[in-house]
Amino acid sequence: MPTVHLHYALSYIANTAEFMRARKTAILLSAFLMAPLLAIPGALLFPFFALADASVGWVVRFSMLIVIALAWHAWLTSQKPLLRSICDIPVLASGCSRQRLMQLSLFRYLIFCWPLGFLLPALFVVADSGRRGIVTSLWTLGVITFTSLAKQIPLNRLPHSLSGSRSSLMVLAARACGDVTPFSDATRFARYLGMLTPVVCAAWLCRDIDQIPFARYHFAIGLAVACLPLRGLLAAAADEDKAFGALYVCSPAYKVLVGLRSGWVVLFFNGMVYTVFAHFSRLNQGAPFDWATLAAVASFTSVCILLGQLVRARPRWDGALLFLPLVLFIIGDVVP
Amino acid sequence: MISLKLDGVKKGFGERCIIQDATASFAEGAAHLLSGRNGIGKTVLLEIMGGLSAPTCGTVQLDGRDVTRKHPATCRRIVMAQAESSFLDSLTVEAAVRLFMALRNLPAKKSLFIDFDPFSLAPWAKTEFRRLSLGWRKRVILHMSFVADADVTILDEPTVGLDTVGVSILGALIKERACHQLVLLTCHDPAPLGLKDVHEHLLKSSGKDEGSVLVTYH
Repeated sequence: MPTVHLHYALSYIANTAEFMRARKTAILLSAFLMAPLLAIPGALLFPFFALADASVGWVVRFSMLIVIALAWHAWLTSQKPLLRSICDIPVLASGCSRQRLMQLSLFRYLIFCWPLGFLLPALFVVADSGRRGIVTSLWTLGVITFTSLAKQIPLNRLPHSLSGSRSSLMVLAARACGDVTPFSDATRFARYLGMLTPVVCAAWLCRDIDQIPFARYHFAIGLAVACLPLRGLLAAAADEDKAFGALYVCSPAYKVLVGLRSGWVVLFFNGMVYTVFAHFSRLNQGAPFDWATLAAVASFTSVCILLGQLVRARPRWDGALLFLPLVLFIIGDVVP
Repeated sequence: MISLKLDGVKKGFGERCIIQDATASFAEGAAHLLSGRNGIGKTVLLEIMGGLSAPTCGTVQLDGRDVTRKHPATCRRIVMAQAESSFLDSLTVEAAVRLFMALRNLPAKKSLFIDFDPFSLAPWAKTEFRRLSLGWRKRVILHMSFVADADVTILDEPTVGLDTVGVSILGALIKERACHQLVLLTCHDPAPLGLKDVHEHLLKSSGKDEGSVLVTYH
């Protein structure tokens, strides 16, 4: 029976994109308001934490850089099909000079890099530079606002002749990217604004907790991520909702691993909230309330807690938890 | 006089040779039809002529300028409509055409479809590209190809997805443009286009695994 529940839970994680696609304002507004209380996705930041830790040796630093590079490359590659290259559209590409194609490519790359808006402020906070953290947070908000506004600008407000008007071209390109930028409409805007806060909060929390053995655990988890099959990582990154769902469970489990009592609370709370949101969405889509799935998610949360306990009790089991994200991502791909 | 010349063009992918030798000269005055069986390399050759793909060896010159160098002035003289009608899906038809014109530095009027709208796109101006049917997507791409008013218009399977009305409009446009511009196309069934004066170029196999050669019939 627990296996069946686990199967349900993993199916749910695999299908989080579906539940997020409902885009019901009420759900997202709730998420926005509650996000800082719910999620502490420390796992998202672990390679950066390791880099920011003065006690980390060069081997770990080098490994973390590789992890970051791999993850970042995977992210960019996974986004390519979403934001099509001009080179893939012959009717556009045939008229673009090499210089223009490079301009567009750069712009496209910058759009892909939107997660930096979350990572950089947090990284600066970890590095004990509060002012820079605030500045980069503001910068992120500026980017979010610009892209949101760009999407809303009516085309007939643009100059009638766009010749040589690079800003107009940028606005048009921003509109063209409406599907993939997270800031293209109000609901997505609220959702990502809601995500920024907990990431920065997580960084702030971790900064002040001295007892966390940063180097050891971050290095180990980083290695696990580096060992992820590229396909799994790509698929997870391509489906941000799936990755987000996995983080909801993984990051508190990680907190349990490193011995934080708050991890238990967060883990349980995340599991419940995740379930409630999922059912909210299913109900909005006309599906009946599914108690079996609710139980499945609850049992999955319990498994995570137990795993965290096991690892804490027996340090040599550390490796087991490292494979949790790996298993999640792979099964998330396999389970339809 | 617009002149596009292929000289000893070869193209292969890895060890596989697609085009063994393509040498030909294309001039305005009549449409140029590139024919050949499926997979012989018609699209590959059109992409080379459009500057989208570089030949393994040989040259493609438009009025003496190498097309593959992607010089801004040369690029603006060429437009290519692909067989599958793909574009940035989230854009409306109007935004798509405006983006196309902006990238080509073409002036765009406030009302886009008043002076030139052969494919009757005006009612669909506010519709997102992804919401269009196959035929209407094709019409948008073809509209772009002709509104560009380029010296060289390359059309890869332009009739696919078009209804009979669309095909006859397309035929009329090709006939008109071919008088003073260079129009190159591939089409397995060109009869419905009603093109009377067509220069046919045949890509045919040169032997087993040796790629194709281009033969021109006058």
